[in-house]
Amino acid sequence: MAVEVPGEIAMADVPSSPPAAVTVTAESVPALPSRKRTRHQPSARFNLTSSDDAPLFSSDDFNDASVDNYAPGRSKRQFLGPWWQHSSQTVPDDAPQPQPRGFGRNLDSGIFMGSDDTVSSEDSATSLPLPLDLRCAPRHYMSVTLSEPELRAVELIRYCLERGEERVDLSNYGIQSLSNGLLEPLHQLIKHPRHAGTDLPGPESYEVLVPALQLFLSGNSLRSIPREVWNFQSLTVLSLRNNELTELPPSIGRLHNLVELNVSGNRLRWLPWELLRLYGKNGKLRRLTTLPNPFVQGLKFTGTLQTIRQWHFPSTSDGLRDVLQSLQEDLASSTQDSAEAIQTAWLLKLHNLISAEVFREHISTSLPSEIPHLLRSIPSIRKEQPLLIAATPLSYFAFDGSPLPGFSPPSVTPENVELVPASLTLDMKQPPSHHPSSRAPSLLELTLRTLTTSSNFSNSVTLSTLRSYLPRTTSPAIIRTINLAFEVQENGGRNCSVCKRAYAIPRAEWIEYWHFVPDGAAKAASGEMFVPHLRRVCSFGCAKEGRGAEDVEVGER
Amino acid sequence: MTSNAPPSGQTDYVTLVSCDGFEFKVQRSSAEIAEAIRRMLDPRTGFYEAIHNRCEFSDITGLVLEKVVEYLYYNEKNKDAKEVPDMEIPPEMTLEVLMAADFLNV
Repeated sequence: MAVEVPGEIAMADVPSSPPAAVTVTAESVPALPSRKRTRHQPSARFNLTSSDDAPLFSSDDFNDASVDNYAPGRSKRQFLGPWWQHSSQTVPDDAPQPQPRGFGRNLDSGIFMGSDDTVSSEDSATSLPLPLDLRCAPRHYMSVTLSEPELRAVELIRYCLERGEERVDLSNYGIQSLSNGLLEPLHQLIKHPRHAGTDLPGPESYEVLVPALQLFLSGNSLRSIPREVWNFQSLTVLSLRNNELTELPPSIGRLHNLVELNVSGNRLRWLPWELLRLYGKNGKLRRLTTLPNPFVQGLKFTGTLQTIRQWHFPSTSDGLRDVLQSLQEDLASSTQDSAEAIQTAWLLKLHNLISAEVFREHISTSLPSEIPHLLRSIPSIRKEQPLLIAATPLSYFAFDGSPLPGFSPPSVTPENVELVPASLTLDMKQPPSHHPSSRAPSLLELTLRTLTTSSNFSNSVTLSTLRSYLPRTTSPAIIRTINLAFEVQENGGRNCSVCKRAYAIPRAEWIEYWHFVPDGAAKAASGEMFVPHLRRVCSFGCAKEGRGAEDVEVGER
Repeated sequence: MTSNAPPSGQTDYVTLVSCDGFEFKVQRSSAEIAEAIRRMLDPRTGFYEAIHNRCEFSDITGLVLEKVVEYLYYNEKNKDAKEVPDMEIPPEMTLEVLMAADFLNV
């Protein structure tokens, strides 16, 4: 009976809270009149929504639970010092007077933050000292000061990341150099699903969310591309148009999802041989724009190729046969080793390769009598397989990367020289006899490999620290080779085009002229008929292997 | 054979001496992989080294020369190999070995 009435009152006042048991005790047990007061005094400060029950019994879990606490105006007896000094009046006057301990609770228990009216805890929870931008910024570019265009680039990259935007258009930003750290966040790009409503996803919603990254760096003044770009395995479109690149690193061959590549309007003299990996059947590259670039040429164009600068390809097998015939007649009538004869020979080889490709395809699939009618279109053949037309003689390097006497490697061709003659027979010049053609790396090469690989593991091995360790009398050749090794490392390393091992100093190089028009257009500009690709190998032994077969298989890693 | 009398002709093994006095007896064909040693030992030059079949290097310590000799044999061994394993060079030695490699043209 006595229990029921206060329960009803409590239910009517605050339905969510349990019955105020305290009130019950206070009223039903008049022997403890102090009880009511202790309860009411704190209730002004902390309301009943607290889920903790107020202490009801003296045996409740309190540190100093004692009947003394329940008496108002009385404090516990406090003792100072050891027991033998204790008497009722021996507490010294200068001893700190113990404060009467009220029956309070620490409001900020940390569990029910915000459930009471205190404001101090809410303040500390919401206002963190760092602005949001700074906390999101990756550590890589927090320490360096960025130029204005770079800051805009950072802004754009962050925008693309947030929106799941695959097309990163940094063209015409006026960037002079890009750091690796700036592009690195793009690795984390996640494509957003196309359908984000509340309906059930239809079958068209199930798609791969791996982004097909498109990076546009055109119209800047870049002299080199940061290494990080070559690590974007998901890159499908890369535009480096209108920059100031002089060489593409071999690491570009790692971008095996690349569909479109634009390198026009740079200062490239050749393309890396590793790019061939992306062409044809092995790769996915379908659009390649190379012109204009000051490419070296293997032959001097004459006649219509010089004036109109275009060559029309036959589209049928009959047309191909006619072209072959007329080229053969031209070759027979022209004087040997003249510019016309060389050009005709190159064209003849190109068309011979095309027709061989056409016929090889058909001999394996159909009866010989059907061949003339079933020929596939010539453009598709030209689209599918890059064709090796000619190559320059090999140039060999000494152990330290300087050319051996008697060789003029293509990579040191002066800028004003356009013609680097090549031969169709792919002949080679042997290295001097006292250089054994083994595949063993030189001792210098081995030490450079150790240096560059240890710089991968340890931050202390950098170019500047190494330079400080070297004595002043160090020969410039050593400094040059160390610089070269670290530069190669910075560009993502390079692998021998024959044995696929990583190396620092090439021992031989040559240029191969390949014909490859990815879209198989019916006409080709003279500049893109035979595109130079620079090929390098790590040892004399590899040089011998690489030139063995004429139809060099495009290596896959 | 006394040390005063010059040995007649070429021996199969040559001696490489480091600056701190370590001597390495190395097969001639291996030693001549190093361009500089080959020129030192060329009998046509009449160098002291060619006559005595003994090369002394005043800049190369015994530790580094040992590594160089190891490399010479490594090269000789892998002359015709298709797959050549990398020779281990301790990172702390690389700069000294680099200088020696440049000096010996190897």
